[in-house]
Amino acid sequence: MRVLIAALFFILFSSVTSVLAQDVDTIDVEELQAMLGSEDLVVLDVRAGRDWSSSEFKIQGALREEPGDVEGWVGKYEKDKTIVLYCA
Amino acid sequence: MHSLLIVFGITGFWLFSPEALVLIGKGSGVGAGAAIAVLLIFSIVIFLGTSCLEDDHGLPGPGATGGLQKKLDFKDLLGAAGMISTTIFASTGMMVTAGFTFNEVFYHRFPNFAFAYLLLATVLALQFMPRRLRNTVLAAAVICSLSGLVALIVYGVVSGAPVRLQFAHETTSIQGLLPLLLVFAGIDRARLFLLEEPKRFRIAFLFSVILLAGWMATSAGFVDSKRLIFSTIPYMTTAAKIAGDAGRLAMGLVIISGSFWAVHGLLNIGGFTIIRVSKYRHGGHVHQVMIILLAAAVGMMMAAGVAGSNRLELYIRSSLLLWLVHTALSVLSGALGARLDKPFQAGFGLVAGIIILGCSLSLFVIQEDVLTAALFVVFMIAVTALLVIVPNFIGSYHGSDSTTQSKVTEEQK
Repeated sequence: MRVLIAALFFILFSSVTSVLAQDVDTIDVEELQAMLGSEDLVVLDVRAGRDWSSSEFKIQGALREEPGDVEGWVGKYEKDKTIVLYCA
Repeated sequence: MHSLLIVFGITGFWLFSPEALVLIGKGSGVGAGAAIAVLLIFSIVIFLGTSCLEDDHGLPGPGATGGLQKKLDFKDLLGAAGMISTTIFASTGMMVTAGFTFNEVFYHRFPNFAFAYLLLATVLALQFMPRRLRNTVLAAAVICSLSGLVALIVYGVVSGAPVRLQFAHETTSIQGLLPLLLVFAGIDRARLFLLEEPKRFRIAFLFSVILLAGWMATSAGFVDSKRLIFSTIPYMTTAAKIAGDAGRLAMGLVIISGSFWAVHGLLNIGGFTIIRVSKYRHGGHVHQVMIILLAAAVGMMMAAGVAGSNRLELYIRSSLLLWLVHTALSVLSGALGARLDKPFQAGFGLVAGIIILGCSLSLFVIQEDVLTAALFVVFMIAVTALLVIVPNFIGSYHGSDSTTQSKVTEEQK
């Protein structure tokens, strides 16, 4: 029974590492703060569900887009602008 | 005999969850005084209704030892589906909410997802602790949650509310107030679990309702009604308005301890529910294994990004409504059974059961995406039915099913 419990614990927490291991390009808060207000910057808040509703902080001027519908909104933004996606 | 704090821990595991606090906050935005009146009416309905519940040794309470004497019927199947799905989906939502709260209120460099998993692991680890330590940790969570809310209400009263409390706004609608019924999901399980301690249950329930009504009045007194309605975290908006950053810190504590408390209660109920429907022999580590499986399901839901799905709220609400429909049917069944012995109790029970059933069905129908909600409910009932059928099939294949129930009953005797 102890082996079973240990195995179930392993399955549970192996999912954590897969989530944390994902590698994406990021921009830090200070960098973004310095860019805010620029006409060449578009901040897209692509958080949905609890990721958005549980958060107290929303970036001023950010536009909300549906993360599952990239095809639907990707053409709306000019390619020469700096587009920052805010997802977590 | 449980200490009063543990009775609070059993009674209020859902009442003080972040989910319930969102409903309370939005309700106060919808109608202030009207919302308080509806909250009190629902609390009376639930209290009178659950007094008709019979000790069916069926679906268990948070921390119950799991009696398996009664045969399952369709009503139990509905209840089990509601409880298991609430355990999985509401726990997923609350863990993520707690993660965001820790990240945004206490330490922004700590990833919210990591905190959500850490909290889930802590709740899970608690199930393997000695009973005494488990009760101490649960009592600490109860104290943190209740004292945080009391402190904010008292500070709010002392500092004086800037907004005049109104009985109703132009936004007041019965449609906006009905969701307050969801605050009382789970009271049926708590009441059944505390059948031998009715006085302590009454004290805990009464104090909880007064505290929630107090928070509702405070929210309405400090925050504009429209802001409360449209806020996704009205509890934090109110706390920040009352006491600035100190208020946010206090509410952060309330939310994290409330999430811990609620998920602990739900995992226990969910674990015993699976044991009940699948007729596993209770004893040894079976309950702990069920809790690990449920926690693993919550962990996988978070990893799969379910918390980031707009449908999570629909799943949680549908699960809670399924649970409340089961409560209503159990109340009606208990009231009909008691109609000759206790006519007054039976009368109150009938009225309460009809109100709970009517409001639950109305809430289901007025959801934005009823079709998806209905499909979800059918899916959850089917999954729960499988939990009933498969172990019974395996049991009958091995020729042991017919003895399982009697073995357990004898064991409990």
